[in-house]
Amino acid sequence: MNVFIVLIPMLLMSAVFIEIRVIEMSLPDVAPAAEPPPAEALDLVIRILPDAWVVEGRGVAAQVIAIPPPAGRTSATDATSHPLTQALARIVEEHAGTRDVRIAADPTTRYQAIVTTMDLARAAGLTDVGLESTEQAQ
Amino acid sequence: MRRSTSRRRVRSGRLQLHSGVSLTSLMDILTCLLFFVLKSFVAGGEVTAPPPGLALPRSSAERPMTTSLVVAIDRGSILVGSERIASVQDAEASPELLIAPLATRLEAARAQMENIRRLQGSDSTGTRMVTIQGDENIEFRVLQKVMYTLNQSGFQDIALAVIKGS
Repeated sequence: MNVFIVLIPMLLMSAVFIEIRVIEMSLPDVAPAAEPPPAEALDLVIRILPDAWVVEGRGVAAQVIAIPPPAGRTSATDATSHPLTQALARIVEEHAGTRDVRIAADPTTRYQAIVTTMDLARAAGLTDVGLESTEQAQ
Repeated sequence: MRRSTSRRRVRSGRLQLHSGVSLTSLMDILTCLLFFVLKSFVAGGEVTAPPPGLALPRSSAERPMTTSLVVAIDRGSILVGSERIASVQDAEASPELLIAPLATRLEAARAQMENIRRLQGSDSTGTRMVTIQGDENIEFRVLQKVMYTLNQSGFQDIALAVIKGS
């Protein structure tokens, strides 16, 4: 009986009741191929600015979408109705088969903002997400 | 009159003695509770639990977490498993992308994993997955350096740990 009384609070304290999920991604090879991406590739990029997202791509007009307050927070239910998701979904519709997107973030961008952007891109059907710094992109 | 009250007392005393909590039922409840807690502990316990003080970002991702090497980045330090490897301040201040102490520790972890694979007789060139448990407030430059170091150390499959929900 005493064992139970000791065991239960101990396990309750160490147990985790939050659901942890993962976003899987593959990093590029250490020695990347020297050849640039083919000219016809869309090369879609989402730049995270402090107050807006900028969606750019080859043959796609750049779009600026304001980050709504509170920044960096969204849920699965409102992801599909989000302006960024809708803009990306339109691009995916126009360029069928597009799965790749790069997220260019400032070195001081918060991790939550990057994860939120990844969520919104995934909701639009862009499942292969790459990360890059705006310092090296420019 | 006095007799009747004393009788009542005796009766109520007896009743109290018999109406105490049954130990058998209590043990049943506690056993159920123990199994429930143990199950939740096994399902999402030690391996996946982020270090105390680390708030994972929230996401709509649905993929469940698998057991792998965990690199945790909280506001002050970078940890591999529960071992503190480097400080976030040093990583931020360094002009280089590679975090040297982390690379050394990852090399050791990779050698250990390959040894285990060799002893098990399985293919040593299998995928090496690393889970990054980053605090929601860390800056991208730290994450970028950690990811670069992982890539250089031969870990190319990354899983970013998040909390499900909004």
